[in-house]
Amino acid sequence: MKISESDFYENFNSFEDLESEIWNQMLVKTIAMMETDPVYMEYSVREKLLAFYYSLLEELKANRSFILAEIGDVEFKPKVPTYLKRLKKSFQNYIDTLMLEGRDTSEVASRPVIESQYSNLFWMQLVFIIQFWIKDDSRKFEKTDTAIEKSVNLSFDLIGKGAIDSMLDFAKFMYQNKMS
Amino acid sequence: MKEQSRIPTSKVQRAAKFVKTGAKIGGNYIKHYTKKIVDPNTPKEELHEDNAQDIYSSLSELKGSALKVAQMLAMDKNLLPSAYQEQFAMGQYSAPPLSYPLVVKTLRDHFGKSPSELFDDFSKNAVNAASIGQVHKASLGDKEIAVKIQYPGVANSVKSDLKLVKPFALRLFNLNESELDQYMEEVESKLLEETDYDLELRRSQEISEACAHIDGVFFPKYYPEFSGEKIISMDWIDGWHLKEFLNTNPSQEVKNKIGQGLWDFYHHQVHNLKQVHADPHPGNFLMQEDGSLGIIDFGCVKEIPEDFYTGYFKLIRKKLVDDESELVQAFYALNIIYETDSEEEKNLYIKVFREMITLLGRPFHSDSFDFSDDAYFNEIFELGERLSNMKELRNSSQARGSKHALYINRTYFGLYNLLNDLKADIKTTKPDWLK
Repeated sequence: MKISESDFYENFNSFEDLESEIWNQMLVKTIAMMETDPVYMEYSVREKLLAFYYSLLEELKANRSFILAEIGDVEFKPKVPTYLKRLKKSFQNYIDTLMLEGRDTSEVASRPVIESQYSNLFWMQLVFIIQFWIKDDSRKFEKTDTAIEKSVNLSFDLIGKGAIDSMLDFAKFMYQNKMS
Repeated sequence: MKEQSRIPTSKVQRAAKFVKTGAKIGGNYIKHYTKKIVDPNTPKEELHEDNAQDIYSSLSELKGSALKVAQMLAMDKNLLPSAYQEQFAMGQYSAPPLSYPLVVKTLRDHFGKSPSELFDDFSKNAVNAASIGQVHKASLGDKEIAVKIQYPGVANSVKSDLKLVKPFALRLFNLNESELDQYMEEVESKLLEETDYDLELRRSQEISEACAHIDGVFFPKYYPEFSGEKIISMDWIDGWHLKEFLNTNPSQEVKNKIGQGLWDFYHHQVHNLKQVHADPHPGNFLMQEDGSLGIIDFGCVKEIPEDFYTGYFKLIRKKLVDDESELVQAFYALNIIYETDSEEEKNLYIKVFREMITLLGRPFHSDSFDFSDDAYFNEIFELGERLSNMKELRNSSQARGSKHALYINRTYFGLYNLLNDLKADIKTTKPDWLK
């Protein structure tokens, strides 16, 4: 380590804070990387979120050992662990911009009161996907890909219009994977 | 974590699906027989249609290999009530698409590059859904390219899907169990092959090169540099599928030309290459205005073992049918009758199978054959119906006929049906030893 203790504390309050920033950087990098891709700008909001998850997983894959060591088999608690605080904030900011855009493209239905909870809904989705990926033992994490497709489709059908079909589909998928 | 691969987990839910269908079909029978009490003339056709609806709607939700099985059953239309056929034929064209970001990811995984880096242009939406994958249209320079991408996890679900289809097929399609086992085994190995795109690419290149000289047919060029485990790229071919083609009111001459191309294509594969494109469903043939025919999709290729070839095609020689002793010999060789059968059984099977081969071999018995002859197809259908209702056949504890015959029969049924739909009158060329 080439930085002095004082420099360290200037940037981070604690080691936990440092950890939190490592997680956060994975997300920040993902978004920055996607935004350089011209195709990304043409995507619908649903596709943007799909692309985000796929890219984030690539990033996470590169750091899989770190993540496994950090999380191991421990379940995410309802209370957000300290090391994810920064990531959560960045993620929710990202979701907020997507939701705004979605209202323009009418992919997101305007629903007073409930719509303020969308960023929490997607946070749960992100947590679910990461958990799923941690436990995924399929080749090339194929099942996580499927989990992403299905859960993103579900969430967009929920916040858009007409949700029943995708909800059944998702419930079916989860049920199948519990039986393994 | 990566090296582990698990047996698919999707069974329970899919099983539930089939149970539901089973229950519904039971309901259809009740409906049918109640109607029959009220009105004895209620046609069985209506029942079949009800059943086909329910089977189709549940199979179509399963995608993957179950959809493939539906396709296979669809091919045997003359051994199935025609009402099933229409429903299953729909299964050949529809499956929910992969999202574009997942397509991008799949290409990245294989080539390390995104579609826009690989091609000048790449369609965001799938232009075509195949049973186990979807097709995107790309362009590079002045070339138009079709890029076929496999759905993730298809290979894993083949086995569990087939196990579920079994009890269901047993009841619905009137097959005996040992026959079905043999059938399923063969189908499973073929379906697993179909998920192997490396193999498909190799075979596509081999067979299309070996058939390139045939008049009236052509094949796309394949691009190994844009292909991989889950991706196959080939030249884009324009053209019509059978139904659309017929809607353009082609002349009889053009229809005959296409029919002849089809026949020659299969003739060359079966008799010379001894391996055959065993998936003659309408989606794989692209018909052109001038009567030429583009052929795609070598996912399902049946290799024909030499001894089976000789035994099987011997049967279609016209004079064999009249020569009882040689016919019986051939039946033993193909496991149609067994030494352990009683005299009575032997006589029954000889009678039944002789009738069948006389009928199915008819196009081979003359120099040319007019496939527009619906009467001929009705004969086949009636025979199929009669056979499937024969108690002796259903209860036979032995499988009758070689397992290799399944895909060969399927191929010929498919071919005959295509030719029938085309109403083509063609020269039925055959090798010299069969004349």
